[in-house]
Amino acid sequence: MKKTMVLLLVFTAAFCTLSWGLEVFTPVLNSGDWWEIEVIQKNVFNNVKKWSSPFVLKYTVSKADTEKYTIDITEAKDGNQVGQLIILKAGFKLETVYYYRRVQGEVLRQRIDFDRKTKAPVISEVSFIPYSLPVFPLKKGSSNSENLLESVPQKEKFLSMKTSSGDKFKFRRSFSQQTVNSTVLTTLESAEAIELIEEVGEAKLADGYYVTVKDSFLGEKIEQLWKKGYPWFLYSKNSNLKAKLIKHSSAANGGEK
Amino acid sequence: MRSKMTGLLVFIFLFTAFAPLFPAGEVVSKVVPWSGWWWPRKKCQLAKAGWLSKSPLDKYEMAFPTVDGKKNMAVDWEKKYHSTRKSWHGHCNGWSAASIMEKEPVKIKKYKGIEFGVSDQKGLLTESFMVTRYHFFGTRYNGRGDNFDDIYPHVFQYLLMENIQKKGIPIVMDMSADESVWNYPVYAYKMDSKSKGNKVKVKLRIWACDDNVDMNFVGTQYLTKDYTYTLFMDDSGTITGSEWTGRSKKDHPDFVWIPYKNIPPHEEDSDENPWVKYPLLKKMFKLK
Repeated sequence: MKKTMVLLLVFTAAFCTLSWGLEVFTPVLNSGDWWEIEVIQKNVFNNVKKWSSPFVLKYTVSKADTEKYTIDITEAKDGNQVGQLIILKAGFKLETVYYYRRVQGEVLRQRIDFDRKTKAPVISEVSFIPYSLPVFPLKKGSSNSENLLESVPQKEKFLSMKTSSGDKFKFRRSFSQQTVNSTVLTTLESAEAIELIEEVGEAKLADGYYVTVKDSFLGEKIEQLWKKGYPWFLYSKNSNLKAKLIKHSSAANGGEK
Repeated sequence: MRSKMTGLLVFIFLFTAFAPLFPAGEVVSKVVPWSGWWWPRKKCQLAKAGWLSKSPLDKYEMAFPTVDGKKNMAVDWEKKYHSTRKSWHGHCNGWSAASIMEKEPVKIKKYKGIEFGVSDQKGLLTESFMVTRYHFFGTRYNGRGDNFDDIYPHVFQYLLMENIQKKGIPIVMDMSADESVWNYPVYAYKMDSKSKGNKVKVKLRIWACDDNVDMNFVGTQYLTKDYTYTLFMDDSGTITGSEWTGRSKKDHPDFVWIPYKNIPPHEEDSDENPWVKYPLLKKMFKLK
């Protein structure tokens, strides 16, 4: 009995030490926080210019209660609302997306609900509003981690860096209740790394969380870079869209950056 | 009694498992798009007056001689950038978006004493919807080296069901699998299926709004296309992939997009005539 108790204590202590060693990250927002992301979309109707001219979307936290964040999304240029996100504070999990779209001369508010119980990344499909989200918290130091970039010492070392693959998630897509596999990987290919460095800058890559979500159903791959201290991803990319954070302001941390 | 119950349970399981995947009968969206001419660039009819006394852009320039304080150059721009292209180059993407997003012009409207017929209104709306915010699925096939099989049938079926059935709103598809692009708003579909082992063979018919109509046509003229494909399932019934079959191997949709918002063109984008301002059209045609 004594032996069992001792073993139990040893295991508990070891587990706690490991858990303390894990660095985790979940974005925290406050009412009034806002950020702007610059988006380009693939220009399918123009063979000469492959990507659209950039447009800027502004995300504003209009409400932050004990349970949820409400984030309004407007086009920075004309101030028109194009969407709204309702995100659960626990796990930064997307609950609902509203789209504002013009149909037959009227502006419709369209709703997409996500399963709040299933632990899985959110895939925005190929919406012009980037709201794909990984599973939070993002972890560091775990053998099965979803993150990558603990530091970026030298470009050469960075480019040759590869880590183990991450978690697999299954979630239901509303297609005859089909189950779709989704994988979070942490492998960073050289070409992707170069693009990230060019888009975000080496300094911001340090201590960032690089996340890849593969949607086997749509054949889509989403890459994102997240970092502590930022309200949203620094960079996100799929086959038809690239988006980067260009400005952010936190009511709690002294305004615009 | 037990066997009857088992039979009933099996029936309920099969019904709930497969009914939403293959809805019986035709599924029609709540919103039905309107037909309109596709304004081929070779003819440049939006700018050049032919058998029309004045072109739509001629009339637009008369209504707004200046735009943003500069001489309105809509006609010249159209002649320079939207003419003398390949035979299939036109304005089908602008028409497809406008026919979903705007109410159909059905009667003559006057602005500053200038008469704008149905063809003028549809033509100008088509031009101003050439650049929109959209959701895009699949990849455009531009020739050798690109994936010809995409868009895959399971994704196409998913988009039909998600948008036409669930949201009641049409999608736009490029009907041509090769390099040419022929956009059409799709607003209805019908599916028949047969399961065998882990495969489901599907026959699909779609109804698309047609743009091969008279310029002054009012209403919806439709065309239909038939496709066949196979869905592959694993033992748990999850769709693992799909392939076009029969004639659909060569003749299937290339990509799908869903327009959300009309936006002003950027100067460097030559897809939309920058002189045709949507807010001016809204004012002129009293659009909401």
